[in-house]
Amino acid sequence: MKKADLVRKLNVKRNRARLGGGEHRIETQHKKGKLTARERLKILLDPDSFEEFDIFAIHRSHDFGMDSTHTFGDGVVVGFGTIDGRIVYVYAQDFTVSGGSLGKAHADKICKIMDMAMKVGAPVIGLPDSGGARVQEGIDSLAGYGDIFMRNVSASGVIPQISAIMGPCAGGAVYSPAITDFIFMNRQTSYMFVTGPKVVKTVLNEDVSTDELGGAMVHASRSGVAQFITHTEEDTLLQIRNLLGFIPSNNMEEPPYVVPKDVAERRCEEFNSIVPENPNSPYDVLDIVHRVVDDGHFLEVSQEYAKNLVVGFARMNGHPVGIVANQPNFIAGVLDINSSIKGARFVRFCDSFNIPLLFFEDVPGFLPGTTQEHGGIIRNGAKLLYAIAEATVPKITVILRKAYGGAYIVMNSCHLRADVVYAWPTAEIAVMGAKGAAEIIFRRTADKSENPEEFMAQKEEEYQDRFSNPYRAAEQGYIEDIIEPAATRIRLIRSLEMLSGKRDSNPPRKHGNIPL
Amino acid sequence: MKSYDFKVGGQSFTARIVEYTETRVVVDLNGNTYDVELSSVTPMAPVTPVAPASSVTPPRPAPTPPTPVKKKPPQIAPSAPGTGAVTAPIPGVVKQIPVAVGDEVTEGTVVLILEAMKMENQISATVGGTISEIKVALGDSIQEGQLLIQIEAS
Repeated sequence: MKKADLVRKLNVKRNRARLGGGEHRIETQHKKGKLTARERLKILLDPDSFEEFDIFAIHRSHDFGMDSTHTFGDGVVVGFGTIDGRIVYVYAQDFTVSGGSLGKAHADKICKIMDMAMKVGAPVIGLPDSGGARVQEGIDSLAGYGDIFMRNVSASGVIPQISAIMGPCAGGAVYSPAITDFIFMNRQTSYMFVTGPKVVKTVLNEDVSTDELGGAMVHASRSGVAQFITHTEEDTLLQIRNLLGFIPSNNMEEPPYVVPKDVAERRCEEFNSIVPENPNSPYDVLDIVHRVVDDGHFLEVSQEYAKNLVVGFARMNGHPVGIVANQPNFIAGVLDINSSIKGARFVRFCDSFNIPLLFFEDVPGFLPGTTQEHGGIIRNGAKLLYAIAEATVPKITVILRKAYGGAYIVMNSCHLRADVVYAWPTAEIAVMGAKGAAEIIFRRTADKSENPEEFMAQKEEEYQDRFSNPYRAAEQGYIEDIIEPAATRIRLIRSLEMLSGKRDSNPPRKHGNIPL
Repeated sequence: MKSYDFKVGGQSFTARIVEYTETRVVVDLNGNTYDVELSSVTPMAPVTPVAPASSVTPPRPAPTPPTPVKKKPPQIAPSAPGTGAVTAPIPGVVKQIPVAVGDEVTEGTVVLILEAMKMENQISATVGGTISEIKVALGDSIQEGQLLIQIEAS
């Protein structure tokens, strides 16, 4: 055969493989409002940057007529490319080939790029769209899942791992995304569950639709499984690019710096009056977060879940930071089970990847009640405490208003190794609110007095004057300074610069035992 | 296997599931064995008690074997989208109701102020529409998840 013919043969074979399940299947995929694996990668990656591996891989199964079935690329497209010029590894399951089902060759392809990503120190982005295990391959298919899970765990905290669910993701398959750092879902085509509606019906006799059981909204707002929810597949792919802009390629790198357009010294005069006079009035902490960060750009994580704690990424003078803020606008900004778990996971992500943490605190305490106690607020609240105490990245707190009781300690107090704690003059750093405190200290004395009501009101005011302010904490050195709210941005930027060389560590050990 | 203690008409029973398959349940009720055939898997399936092993007849018909029970739907999230039910995200006391039945609201309009954790929490409309029902009054103590206001979505 002539050399020119060899090249022609290669091109013919490659073009056939690129069609995956063939034109008919591609059309079916489009009719469902879904893009194909290759179309998705085209949107996700920089133009012309994708280099594909293992396009000629095929399955090695002979059972159940599989020897006459061709699976081009074995149902997954893998390789590497760039996002904003930075190397990323990708795998996109191809639903047009055997429904994207996962066989051994399919899994091996994913494992190969994960191994490379670990050697190189670059993120892995997975785009699952799969019917599940390839049943014809039996236990080999399960082995494939196991191999992927193991790599997900090994890579956790070493390289960022992002999953964007682009179609079905059911059964054991859910646990690979579950281990990764962030899950994206779109409202149109993604769903995730361990067992589908049919099994739920058979076993529990419970009628539930696919969407109610494992749709994007359920996982974004109810279960907390998905951190990002978008309207379309395209939105998801563009949001992944946005997210990567805040995080480094591996745990040895600093997060990506961008020359800031915003002015470091920019004052926020409205901060001097943003906290309401009435301590019982709520306000939107996002008004503070958006104004304090560069260009008002804040990428909120888990926006729909546990809204009483806001977490997300932003930049301060060009450097990425992770923000954790109590939200007085939603159930008073209390810490409860869900918000503790949400906060803990976010803090641990930032600590893994050298992203400094900024806390904006206005917390009345932990949420009381049987639901919370029986649900384990003790062990769940402990997660947030543990995560913050364990974090060694620069940690700065701004106390905006309430900093009460145990929740004050948990929200990055100096006792949990906060580097800098600032308070606004509106801060109330105390064991509890003045009314409750006066009740406990003076109730007995009050009952003996002539006018108990007047006596209590007076004692409440006394407590208010003495403790419901930041000066006690400042006298004790528990906070570094009381700052003018309008100057918050520059004070934070200077502190972050001061801390840029911070080195801190935890005692050597196999690993700690976070109360899971 | 599972065992259940319960009372019928003041008399105590202990039911122990001896065997439980898709079509058959064997229950031991206070020492009497019942072999129950299931003709369908829906709850409250008709049951056929088979001759008790002893002559002591229970005062009531044998209880329905524990069939799969439909799980209580999870509590509606405070901001469950798409439904007009405004529920309490936190236990508290009704402080203000700035709307009345018949009022038009848009999504996000504050429809109730719930005092909880010493905070006047603003509870917002989950959908745009007309207030069709106000289920609570000023000063009421509210449980978490309790229905506060019903909005007829427009």
